[in-house]
Amino acid sequence: MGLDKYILKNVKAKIGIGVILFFVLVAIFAPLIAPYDPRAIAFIPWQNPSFKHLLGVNSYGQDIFSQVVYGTRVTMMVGIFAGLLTSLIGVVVGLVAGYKGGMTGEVLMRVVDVLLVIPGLALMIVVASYLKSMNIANTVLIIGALSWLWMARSIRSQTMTESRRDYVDAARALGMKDIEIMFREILPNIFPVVTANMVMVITQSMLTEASMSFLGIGDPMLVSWGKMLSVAFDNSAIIYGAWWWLVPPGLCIAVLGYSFMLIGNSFLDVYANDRGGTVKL
Amino acid sequence: MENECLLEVKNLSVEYTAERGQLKAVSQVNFNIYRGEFFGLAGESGCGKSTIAFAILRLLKGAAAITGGEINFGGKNVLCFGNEELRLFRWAKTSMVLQSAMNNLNPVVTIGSQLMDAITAHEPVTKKAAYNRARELLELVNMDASRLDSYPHELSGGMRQRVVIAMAMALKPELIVFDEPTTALDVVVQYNIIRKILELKETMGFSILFITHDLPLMLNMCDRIGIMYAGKMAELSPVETLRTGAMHPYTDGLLHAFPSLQGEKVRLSGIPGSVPDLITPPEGCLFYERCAWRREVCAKEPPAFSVVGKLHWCACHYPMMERGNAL
Amino acid sequence: MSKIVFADVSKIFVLKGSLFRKQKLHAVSGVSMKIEEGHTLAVVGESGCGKTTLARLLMGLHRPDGGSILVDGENVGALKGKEALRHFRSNVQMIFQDPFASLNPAHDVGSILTRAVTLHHPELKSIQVRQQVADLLTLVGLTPPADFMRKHPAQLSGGQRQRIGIARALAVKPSVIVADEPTSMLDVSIGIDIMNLLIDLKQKQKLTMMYITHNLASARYMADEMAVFYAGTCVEYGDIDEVVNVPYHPYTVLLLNSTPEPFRSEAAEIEASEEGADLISGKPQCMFCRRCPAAVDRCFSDFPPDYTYGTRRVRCFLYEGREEDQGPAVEVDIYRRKSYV
Repeated sequence: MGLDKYILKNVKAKIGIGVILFFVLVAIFAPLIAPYDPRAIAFIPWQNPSFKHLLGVNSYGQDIFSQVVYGTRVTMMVGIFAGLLTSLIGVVVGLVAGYKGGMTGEVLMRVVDVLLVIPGLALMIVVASYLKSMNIANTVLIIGALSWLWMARSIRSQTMTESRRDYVDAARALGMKDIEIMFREILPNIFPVVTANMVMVITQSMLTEASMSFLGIGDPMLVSWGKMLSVAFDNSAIIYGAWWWLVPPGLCIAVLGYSFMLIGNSFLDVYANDRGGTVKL
Repeated sequence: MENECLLEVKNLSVEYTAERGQLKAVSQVNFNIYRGEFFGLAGESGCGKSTIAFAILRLLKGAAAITGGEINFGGKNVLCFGNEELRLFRWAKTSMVLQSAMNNLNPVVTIGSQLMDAITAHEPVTKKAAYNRARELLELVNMDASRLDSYPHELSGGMRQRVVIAMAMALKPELIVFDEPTTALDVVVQYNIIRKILELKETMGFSILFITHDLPLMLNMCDRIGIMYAGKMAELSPVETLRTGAMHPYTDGLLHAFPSLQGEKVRLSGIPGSVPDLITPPEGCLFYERCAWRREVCAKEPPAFSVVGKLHWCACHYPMMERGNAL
Repeated sequence: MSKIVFADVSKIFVLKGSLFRKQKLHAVSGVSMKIEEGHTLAVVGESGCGKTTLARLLMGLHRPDGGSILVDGENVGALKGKEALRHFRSNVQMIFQDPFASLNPAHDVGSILTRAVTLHHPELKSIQVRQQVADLLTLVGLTPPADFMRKHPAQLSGGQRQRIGIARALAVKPSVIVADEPTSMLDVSIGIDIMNLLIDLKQKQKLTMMYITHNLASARYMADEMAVFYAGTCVEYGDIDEVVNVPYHPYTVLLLNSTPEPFRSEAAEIEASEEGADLISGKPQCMFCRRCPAAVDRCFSDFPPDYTYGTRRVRCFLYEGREEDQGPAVEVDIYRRKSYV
């Protein structure tokens, strides 16, 4: 259903998928690609890029290239899993609020509105500080559980539009239960919006993880791109002109984030085209 | 016809570029519209009638292209007009009323302003003169001058369509093209608007090209009707002839597909099958698959659009006059 | 006992206004009528007259705010319990106006029809289900069934989609069909096929039908009785040929005169106001009074009751005081242009 339109003929999506696949492979084969243990403090600090250290060595004496490679794993895992968790909550809340409407919908949306007022990152910091320890699972949970608000809104709006269409009335007239209508009738039709939102949420999660690490909240043992940036700043990498420490992780975040966006936006374009032009997210 | 010929459509062909190939939306269509005439173009979805309307005003864009023929207005080929000639032609000589126009009025500008814009865009008149002209136009369509200050959403569908008609008459054109102007309106409103159009035609003397799928409506108001099928003109005749002596099997089928309020209740039969693929049209007559009177030659050779009576053309190898009236 | 009974049914929609001044739209007011088993009732009127709301009330997709609707003696608005609701849903089905919006674009024909069957008969084995789906497709003229099973709605024409919609409605083996302008979005030559299909199916499956349309001529083609609706009320009801030939209500006269008729010998020149009806204020007056050339003072201050003459009912003060049927109280030329009189 639309595989053709959405993927095979969609150049932007293909590029995006290609880039993501590349990073996935890097993440999977990290041990084979990275020449050294990323945490090993074994080299002379502050080395410029060379053949032995493709991206140089950081202030502690760790090989940056290996860090970037292994960092792919953490960033992608957090991004994808937190993104999935967020999407799950966002889709369910959005579908219910949009389809049921009435009191249920209003109450859900007011809750969303109230939560939206609270700055997400601040809330995450507060929650994180209450936890005994931070590890990758906690990071995923925190980001996932607190980022679903925009998605719920977006899905709700699409669900409301879709619910007005006759086939939904026909399903009700046939006696279909609400749950089936929401998940079997409506969801497949708004799936492109779900995916579009999901990729944005994944990007957002990666960036949130980067921010959290940057602020020093994440797991101190994990090597992630965000952590790398954080450490680099802490150690005055800018003053030292150590662009080879700052640029690679930042660039990776940007590129990976952008490729997710490419997929999401291009899906939205196809979806909107089918519906005559514009779609209000 | 003693009246002069206002519009001559000669061998017009229009194609749309689709993924699978070229879609032949209009193929070698010929018809004339005379001064003061109410000409109807009838057919079902996909027959090409709207495409012809847009072609006349050279409003086709995007994937559509005129691939052949001439559209002669007052002797000159519209398809060869340069930008300036086109500007003078559009709205001043020929204007258009679309089905969706009433919903596409600018929602944030008053009716009066929009009318005035239509006038001042083409004629160098003062604001006051344009305002007065706008008032006159509204009165012509039976709307109170106070409506000049209304916004589109404050008016009903029927009123909005009247405004659109007033706009179309702003420069006293010689020909107005109406593309399904009343399809979205209720039957009482439709009746009033059609009557108003007829009145205006009498007083202002313009010719009308009226496009619709509603054949009963056309039979009541047109002078001549052209029946379109799959991009070609199947039949062209004065209205009276069409009512009693339609020659093309499609016309006959169409006339008998409308239930009526009077007369005996008989079971009507539609036309079996569906319109052929216009990207790879079959050889021979495009109506072949659905025709109850088809013969071998019909599958091989496309029928010529030829004279079958007084001012009556038909594109059929065996028009009904030869078959007698047997069904 | 009539198959379907509408008893003083009304439905009000609350419009989004300011918090304290929400306006009420009286979409349907005081509708009382019956549909006998095996009959087709045409519900005719222009946009905004309440016919679609009435259809949805009958389907149980809206709850009436006043009055009751009985199908086979059971009150639609008061169905309690899963079993009662399920039984109702398998008894009354709807065919929608828009063939493009009434089929879920994400599913193929096979799964749409299969789900309709299994929803009400989960006990059937998949072979039996497949057979039923194939039978349904054959019933609506889509043969061979195998050709259509894997197709998605987007690959079908308007007429074919409408046939699928009909098949879906019939899948649950209903005894009542509500058809909401099923041909208004189709080409004429296709529409007539759909109308013929509905007529045939109605006879074969012994259905009772409510046929909604704005086109009087197709109402005459399809139905036995007609109810003319204006501004949420039924203004006239009766045998369809009688109403069409001898209309009693001024609005019916107007509709008949405005309908384009290809073979009418003389086209009467009429003029009529297009003023919309006031559905909001709830003022007690005849909804049609402002447009009616025969209106008297009474019409502006009271809501007219139904006057019944045998099978004919009229909601018009012109019939006040008439005990027996004396023929129509309106002349057919009440709308004729003044300049001609």
